[in-house]
Formats: sequence, structure tokens, C-alpha cells
Amino acid sequence: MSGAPARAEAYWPLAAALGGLALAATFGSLLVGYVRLDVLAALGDIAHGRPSLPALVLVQLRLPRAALGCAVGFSLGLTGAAMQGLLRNPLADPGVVGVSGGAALGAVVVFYSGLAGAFSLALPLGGVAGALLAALALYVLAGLGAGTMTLILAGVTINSFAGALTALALNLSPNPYAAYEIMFWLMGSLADRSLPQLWLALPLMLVGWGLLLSSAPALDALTLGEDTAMSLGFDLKRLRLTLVAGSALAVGGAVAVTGAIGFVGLVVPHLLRPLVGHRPGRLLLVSGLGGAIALLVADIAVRLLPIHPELKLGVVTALIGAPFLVLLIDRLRREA
Amino acid sequence: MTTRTPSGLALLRLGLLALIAALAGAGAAPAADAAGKPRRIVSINMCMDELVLRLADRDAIASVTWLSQDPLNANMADAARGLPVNHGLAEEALSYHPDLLLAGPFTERSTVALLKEVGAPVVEFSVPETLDGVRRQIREVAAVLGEPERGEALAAEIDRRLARISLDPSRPPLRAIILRPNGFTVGPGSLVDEILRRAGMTNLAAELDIGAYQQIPLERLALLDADALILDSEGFAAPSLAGEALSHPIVAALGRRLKVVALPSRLWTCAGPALVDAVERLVEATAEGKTRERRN
Amino acid sequence: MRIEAINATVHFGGYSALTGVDCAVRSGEMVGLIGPNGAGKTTLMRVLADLQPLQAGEARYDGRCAHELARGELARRVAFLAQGGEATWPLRVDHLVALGRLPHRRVFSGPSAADRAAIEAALRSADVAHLRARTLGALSGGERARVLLARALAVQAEMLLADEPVAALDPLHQLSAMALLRSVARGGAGVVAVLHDLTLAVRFCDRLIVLAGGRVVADGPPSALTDAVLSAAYGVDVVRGEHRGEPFIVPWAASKAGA
Repeated sequence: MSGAPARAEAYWPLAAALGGLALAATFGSLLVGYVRLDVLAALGDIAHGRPSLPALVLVQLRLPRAALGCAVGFSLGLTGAAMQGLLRNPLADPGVVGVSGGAALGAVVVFYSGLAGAFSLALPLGGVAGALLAALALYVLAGLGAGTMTLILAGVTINSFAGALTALALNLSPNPYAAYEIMFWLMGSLADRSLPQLWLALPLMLVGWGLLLSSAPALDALTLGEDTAMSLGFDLKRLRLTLVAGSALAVGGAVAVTGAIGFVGLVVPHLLRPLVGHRPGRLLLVSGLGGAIALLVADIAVRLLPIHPELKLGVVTALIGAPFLVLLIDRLRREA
Repeated sequence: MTTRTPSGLALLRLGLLALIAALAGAGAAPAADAAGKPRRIVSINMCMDELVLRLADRDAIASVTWLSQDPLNANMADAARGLPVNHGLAEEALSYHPDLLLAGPFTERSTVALLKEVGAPVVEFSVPETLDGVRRQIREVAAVLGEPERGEALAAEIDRRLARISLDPSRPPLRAIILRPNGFTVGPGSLVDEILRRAGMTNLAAELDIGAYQQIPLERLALLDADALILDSEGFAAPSLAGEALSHPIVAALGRRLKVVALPSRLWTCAGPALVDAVERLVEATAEGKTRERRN
Repeated sequence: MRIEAINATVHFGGYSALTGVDCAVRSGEMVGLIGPNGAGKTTLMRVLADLQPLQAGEARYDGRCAHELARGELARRVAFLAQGGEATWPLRVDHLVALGRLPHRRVFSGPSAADRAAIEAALRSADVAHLRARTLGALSGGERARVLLARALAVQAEMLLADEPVAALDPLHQLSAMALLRSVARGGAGVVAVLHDLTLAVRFCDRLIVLAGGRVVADGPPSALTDAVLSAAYGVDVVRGEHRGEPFIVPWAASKAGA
């Protein structure tokens, strides 16, 4: 990093600006779709209690999509920043501790086994259950006092195992089209999500956000190493527990509804870190807002691009994210 | 399909299959009986299963696919129960010592190619695109099975039932849109399209400029101003994500504005006589002036 | 404040780091902790800071066990400066020093006036105020060490436990850092510093604890650091002298025969 004097403190203006952009992007997502919709007229209909068709489309289709885009993006950005802060590594992503693999497995198992009787919230509930089970497995594997390396290895193990079990579940599914469908689901999408899914996922994500954001001071202290952080009064066991539980709820809820969307949680914190002076605590909120903006923009792009059927979100984020990683590698090599 | 020189492993596999086929041929079961009708019929395609079950003697059927025993996915599930099943694999099919193998266009290409290479008696059929094509295929399959009269009878029954369907001539065609799993609809020019016409409807997908089997976002569906929404579902045996789109709250909300007809896929997955059932259902569901006033 | 280690015993697998160590440090005095590599100095520091699980024995703070203290009390009253000085992210110097105020900060509030004053004082004392806007990665090893020392000073704790605070510094800054630590002790806080330089140890410390092989071999004023003790602990013979009334000790050669 350069030795030139860093810019003066600009955190709250930055957070406010990003928050404003996120709101604008959410509103933009409401305006974009496959049909020309007079949104203002529809809003008027809603205000006056007129159940018109445009109002129906706005509330039942566009609203869940925009709101979920914002919430899921926030979850991914926030969790990515939290994991990078905990593991003190800029290459950690939200799924590193195994929660996204667990969420995918949970969703697949609960849904395809017909356990939930095929009601529409089976998928999100399964996903969150899977994420929490993965978090539990993490603790069984790594132990409560686990160090960072053990945590990473346990996360890798869980992700691999969950992936294998997911494939097995698909293989054994009585539905002959299961593998085909879940492949598309796993690529991530916000298309045609519903309000019930939003109401289910949102409270869980909110709790997860609370847990993650509350760990900001501890993550700052961790910059100086585990001993120093402990000497500054932070209980590292509790911190790891809080962060893993928070990720399970935030990411588990998200993955369960939208499928696996990668790169947002990896790239957004990395891009925004210099703007908060590299402080992991401050990065949390800012990264969440950045993630919301990124996902909403990607989702808007997916609908504006003249490609049918709709491109999967996970594909778009991967296509944009991978080149960023290449740039990162290049920068790291030049610095070394 | 290009031909390649087989690798060593493929040659070995071919050799093994040839051995099985030879043993099958040399086995106890005789080939076609005196009348020339095949007596050990194996179908490795679900749509062929249906025709075989309808047209051939039960004791002439050696095996059908496992899919036709599922009542929610197959039309002749009762008839298929009790018969030995196969999973569309070459070795499995050959183990029944068939004197006739029926395959469809969506049967694994490599399986069909392999069966042909070992000289098994494979007959392939394509998917008919029109009701005329359906009748033609019934007759062709019946001929191959050695039951031409039954084929004629089945085709004639289809014609009879279609003729019985009476539509109100004064009523303009209902504007309908089909919603299939995964948010797909059906474009103009396909067999399903013809069914709609026979039921007194027009396929709105034609207006939307969508090719066959394209996806339609729920948004467009909702704002189409259709008279009828045809859902390709009737409760799936096993849950599927595809069904998610069909249970979206907006579909229920739309149900208050237009006629929603549930039509199970098994009636139109295979080109066969069940298609007439589909037409009859559509007519019945939309008759009696059940169209709603178009509200905005 | 008084911190005691009572019969402290620490094992790492089959290896004994500390065996039955008894020692006490209190506010107002500057204690030097010396001994050869692998003697257990860092382990003892961590025991005193309540960072090290013990197989036997305990650490007491004003007579109480750590878990009897209020939450965060120990963090406010004891500052720990770890050896090696790692910092994952390239923070600005002033933000890094500000981390020392975390034990005093209330949840959801920004830094108070007292916090800002403490940070300023720490930056000035460690002579890094002119570097406040630079990032850690752009500093030399010695500058980094002083920044981390400033962070520990910012805690304004009653006890400062510093593990090798001057090892990376040039002679000028070694002297000024030791003078700084002594003035911190004179100001009422207690300081324990792990040192390798024997002259600095005898010049600036009120008391010396000599550790070797996981045991205390000497505990007393600098005069207790006899040639016999040094030979037994370090295996070296030393040359002594005096300049303007203050002693200096220079390790000269390996001791003959074993200890």
C-alpha cells in the first residue's frame, strides 16, 4: 500500500451514499421487468385499494424480487466481509465455513424427499435448517476452541461432503427431472420469487445481520492477532460462535431462496475495503450495502439483456467476478 | 452422428453385447410365432410403452419402462403393473430376449446405436406433430406389432371422440396461455397447439412471438389479458422445483380473474390417444359460459 | 494493582513450558523478565495476561481470579503487547493506535474526548505522531514496533505487559522506549518487559525475574544478577562495567563446562 497520507475520515457519508444507492437500485429493480408497467399508476391503485392487474404484478412479482435482491445482496456482502475479518484473509467468501453447501443440501433434501409435503416454503426452511446443521457440524469437527486454520479446513470438509450428499440426494430422488432442475437452481436466480418466501427469509436474515454487525469491534481488534484481541477483552470463542451462527442465518436464508450466488461476497468487500481504511469493523455495513447494490444491478441487467431464457444470476456474478479475481491475483503478484 | 473407430473398451463392450445377443438368440424362447407376430416385445421408451400396452396382447409384452408404472406420469399405469420393467439400458433390454425393441426419439442415442450394432430388432419412432401424425403413428406401431386391426380401431375411436366434441360456433375462440413446469409455455405449431384449437381456444403464445417451448416470465403471463390459463400440473408425485412457478401466489390471484384449468402432463407428454382426453377436459372446463368478464 | 502467578504450570503436549512458577508484579515498578530463548518468558507473560490455559496453578489479580472480575475489567486494567507485531490489514497508524481504546469504548458510541486524548498522548510518547496518517505497511520495522507500543500505551492500563518491546528498535529508539516505559512505571502503572539486552535490563528495571527451563532462577533487584546466575541461566560469561554510576553488562563468551 502506498505511504501517502490517507484521506480524512469519510465513513458515515460513504455509508449514507451507499445506502442511498441501494435504495435507488431497489426502486430501479421495481421499474424493470419483462412488461412495460406503469409503476406509479400501480402504486396509486394500491394506495386506493384498487386490485388492478398492474398492482397485482407489482406487489406479487416485482416487490419480492426487488426486496429479495436487496436483502440477499446485503447478506452476501456482509457475510463475506465478516468471514474475511474473522479468518483474516481477503480470499474468504461467505460459504467458506460450509454454510452455503449446507444450505443447498438442506434445501434439496427437504424438498425432494417430499418431507415438507411440497408446500412452497419447504425450500427456504430446508435451506436454513441445512445451514444451521452445517454450523453445528463445524463445531463438532473443529471444536469450540478451534483456531482459524482448523475452521477453514472444517469448512472445506463440510462443503465437499455437502456437495457429495446433494448429488446423492438428486440421484436418489423419485422425480426424474430433479437433477436438471436443481442444476439451474444452484446457479442462482431471483426470478418469480414470491412474497411468502420473502417473509420467511427476511426475519432470519435480519437476525443474522444483527449477529454479524455486532461483531465489528471484535473484528477490528483481531487485526492485531488473537492474543492482542483477547487482551482487549474479546472472547474469541464467542466471536466465532456468533459469526458462524450469523452466517448460517444470513447466508442460509439467502441461499435457500435464491440458490447459490457466488463472487458477490468475495469481490465486494475487497473493492470497498480501501474506502474504509481497511478496517474490518467498518467494512461490514458498507460491504453489505455494496453487495445489495451489486446484486440488484446484476438482476436488472439479467432482465434487460435480450437473452432468453433469463440468464442465471450466479452465472452473471461469476462472469463479472472472475476477472476481478484475476486482477487481484495480478496485484498481489506485483506487490510481492 | 459421426462414426468413430471404437476404442478398445468400446470394442470389448460390443463383443460382450454380441455374445449376450447370440445367447439370447440361441436361447429357449422362439422368435415370432407362426402368425409372424412378435411374442417378446420390449419397449424402452415411455410413449412406446403406452401404445404397446394398448395394442399388443399382454403375454406378448416382455418388458416396459419403469416410468409407465407411475400413475401420475403415465396413462396406462394399471395395465403396466405386474409387467417386468426396464430402465432403458441396452443390456437390460437384451436380457429379455426381445424379438422386437421399440424406441422413441428421446431414448438415449448411444443405447439405440449400440442395440443396432449388435443386430437387435430395433424400430424407432419419432414424435408426431399433428393429430394426423398421431393416427399415422398408431397405425405404424400396430403394423409392427402385428395387430393392424387394433390400430385401425384405436385410430377410429380417436376420430369418433373428436367428432363428438361440439363447440359453440358463435363463441369466439378463448384466448389461452399454457404454463408448464419451470415457467415454460408452448409456442405455436406444435401438437399441443393443435389440441387447443380443437378445444376452441387460441394459443396466446403465438402473439408473444415465442418459439416452441420457450419460457414465459410470470410477469408477462399475468399481464396478458387471457381468458384461460392452462396449468400443466395435477399434483406431482414427487416435489419438483418446476412446480414452484405453478404454485406462486400470483397464479392463485389470477384464478379469480380468468379460468384456470389444470391439465396433467401425462395427457400430452406422449403423442397418443390420451390427447383426446386432454381436448375433452379443456372443452368441459371452459364450457357453460364460464369465461369471466375481463376486468382490468 | 498486583498480578501474581501462583505455582503456574503449563505443558504443550509433552513439552513443559513452565513448571511451578511463582512471581508477582505490582503497579509502580518496572520488572524485566529475562532468560534464554525457550525459557518460557512469553508463556509466563501470557499467564499474567490471562491468555494462557494452565495445567496447574493460577493467576490472581488483586487476589481475585480472572473470572471473578467484571466483564472487560481486566482488559481495561491490563495491556498486553504481543511479540512479533502482526497486523493483518494495512490500517492507518492513528486508527491502529485507537484500537487500544476498545476496552474503554461503550457499544455503539464513537471515541470520546478522553479516548482522543489518550490516543494523542500515546502517539506522542512513542514518537510516532508524525506518522499518524501513514499505513503500517509503509513503515520500517522500528517504526512499526513503536506504533504497536503506542497502541498498548493508549489503553492507559494499570499494568503493561510488553513482550520484547525493543527487540526491533535501533539504539536511539531502544533507549527512548526504555525511558518511556520507566516513566510509565513512575507514573503509577506497572510494567513488565521481556528483554534480551542485559544492560538495558539492569539500567532501567527496578526488579529482574530470570527464567530458565521453565523455572524462576532469580527474582530480585538488578544486583541479584550475579555472574553465577547469568552463567547458569544463559551459559555465558559476561564483562561488567560502569559509566557515570550506571552499570553495563556485556555478554562475552560461552561459559566453560555445563551448568
